[in-house]
Amino acid sequence: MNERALTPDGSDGGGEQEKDGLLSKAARHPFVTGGAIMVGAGLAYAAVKTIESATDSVAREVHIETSITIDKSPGELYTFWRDFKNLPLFMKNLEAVTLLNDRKSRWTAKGPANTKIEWDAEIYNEIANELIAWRSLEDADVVNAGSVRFERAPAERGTYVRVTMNYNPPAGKIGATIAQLFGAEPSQLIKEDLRRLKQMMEAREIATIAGQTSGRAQIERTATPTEAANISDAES
Amino acid sequence: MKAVCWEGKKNVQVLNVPDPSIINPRDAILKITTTAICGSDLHLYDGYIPTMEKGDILGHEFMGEVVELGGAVKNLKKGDRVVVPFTIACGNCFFCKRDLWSACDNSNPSAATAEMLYGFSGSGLFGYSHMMGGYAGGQAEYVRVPFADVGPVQIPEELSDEQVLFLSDIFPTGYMAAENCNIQPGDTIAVWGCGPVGQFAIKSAYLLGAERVIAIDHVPARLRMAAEEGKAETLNFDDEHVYQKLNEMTGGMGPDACIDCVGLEAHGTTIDALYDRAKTALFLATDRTHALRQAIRACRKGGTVSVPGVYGGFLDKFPFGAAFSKGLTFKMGQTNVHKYLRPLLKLIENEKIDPSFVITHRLNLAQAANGYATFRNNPDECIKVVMTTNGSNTVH
Repeated sequence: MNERALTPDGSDGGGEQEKDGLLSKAARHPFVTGGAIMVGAGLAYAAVKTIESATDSVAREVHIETSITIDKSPGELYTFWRDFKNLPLFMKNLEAVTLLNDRKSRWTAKGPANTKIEWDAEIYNEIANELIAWRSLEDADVVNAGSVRFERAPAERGTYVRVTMNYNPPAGKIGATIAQLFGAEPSQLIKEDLRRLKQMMEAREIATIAGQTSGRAQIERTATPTEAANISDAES
Repeated sequence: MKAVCWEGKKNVQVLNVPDPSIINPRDAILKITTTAICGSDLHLYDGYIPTMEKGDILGHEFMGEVVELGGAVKNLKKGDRVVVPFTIACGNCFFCKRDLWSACDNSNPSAATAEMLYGFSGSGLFGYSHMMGGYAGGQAEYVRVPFADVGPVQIPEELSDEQVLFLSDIFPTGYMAAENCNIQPGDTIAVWGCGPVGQFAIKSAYLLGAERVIAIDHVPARLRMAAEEGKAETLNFDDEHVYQKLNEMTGGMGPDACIDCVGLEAHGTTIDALYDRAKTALFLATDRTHALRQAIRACRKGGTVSVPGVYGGFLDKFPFGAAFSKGLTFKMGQTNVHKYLRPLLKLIENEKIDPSFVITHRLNLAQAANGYATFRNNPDECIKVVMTTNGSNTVH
């Protein structure tokens, strides 16, 4: 089961199946070479739990599961998510996703001090309007696997969106850098991303006070891609 | 522009700050004409509400003229005169669709903070701490209004600012408090706290068919207003034992519903009130609960306790046993202002009520620091402060 979740021909990955033994299974993964750094990342940026664990010589596995209800149909949400170019609109640390082909894409996340973290990923399992499961590819800066499920909620309440992610905190200096970037609560980061997605889909804009006036004088800032991405025509 | 800024506990100042600008497509910018200080602003003033930051612009009761619109706001135009609900709501989420506007899922940018404390976050609020979104408030010359396509209500020309300003908060808040009592013919409603929300709860209880309203406070001018304007019977908790007196007045049954319009800074002279003061002073409890305890004890069996007064944290010595054994119903929460705006505007237009009766002080925005201090320190003289931005400064 776990093996399948990380093998190239795995067809039922996603969800809970990634939960156990990612590291040990991944170590046997044909794409993971001996020297590969097991930099775990979430959708774009999920973090290691603490700097300590990141610098441990033995990496620990991290599993994240979080969900949110969005008042749109599973189909609408699936379509929006499946167009990976949309992901940086609500994923805070993700800078860009470039499509390489129908199943493969290149992900760029913001690192500390203007650095960039980049990896390639592929969709390895997909059910239209229900499930997208992905994992990073050979030579990725960041090795990770995750899935998003869209499940119709009862009584016209929209869709339960459930995100599952697994990664292994890296060892060494890169691990420490990643930990610094991503903070101590990776699941909270994912939750905030999902909250932004919900706001975009339901309210057609993301609530913010960034750039507002105050008695603290003018706050100089530039809009984040997230804010810039707010969709201009509201539904009424 | 000039704006009233929270500079620390018991310290508000009118500062020159940058004008607000459109940030999101559904925003509008208003030029404020009239704004008010709310009793709940005093909780901020007194430092009871966490996550305030020096420089935050205060104010959640305001109205004005639309001067700028985001691209997605199609139902307003420049020059429209509007009142704005103090709760910020998207109009699209599960909660807004069910008229639970103050529970809006999509309007609080700091929802995570509120979630940590409360389990889930309410809507964003104007000028009411960063936990509630940190939105700049409307005690200012201009304000940014998010979700302006669902919040603001347009005001007919013939109504004055003073007649409609309180649609932003205290009138709907008092009204929802009374509505939450599910008033039936013959009902007696007891109202703790005769500040502005209490005054509107009293009037609303009668509008909704209450037989009797009993108002409880210890500030003579407020009790007088409750009697004269609200036609309530009054009890001064300094002079009378409230539970006993309410019992007598209701033939030994107790009021059918009790409304706590006091909230977390209750005053009182009984042992439990002094105990609360000591505990909050030592940060062993966050809220003083005297009025609520009394309401729970006095309420009749199967009655309703309605709580529009603001509570922020943890309550000590909460008489849950009394609530349980009498089978009480509790209704509370921030006001779903959007739900009440239009129906209550109708009541004003039809001259069923003129909300301006609560106003005791009319100031210019520049006098805000004075306004806060007077409202805080002279409750007998000062019941409601409104401030205008146009230079008129009649001080009563």
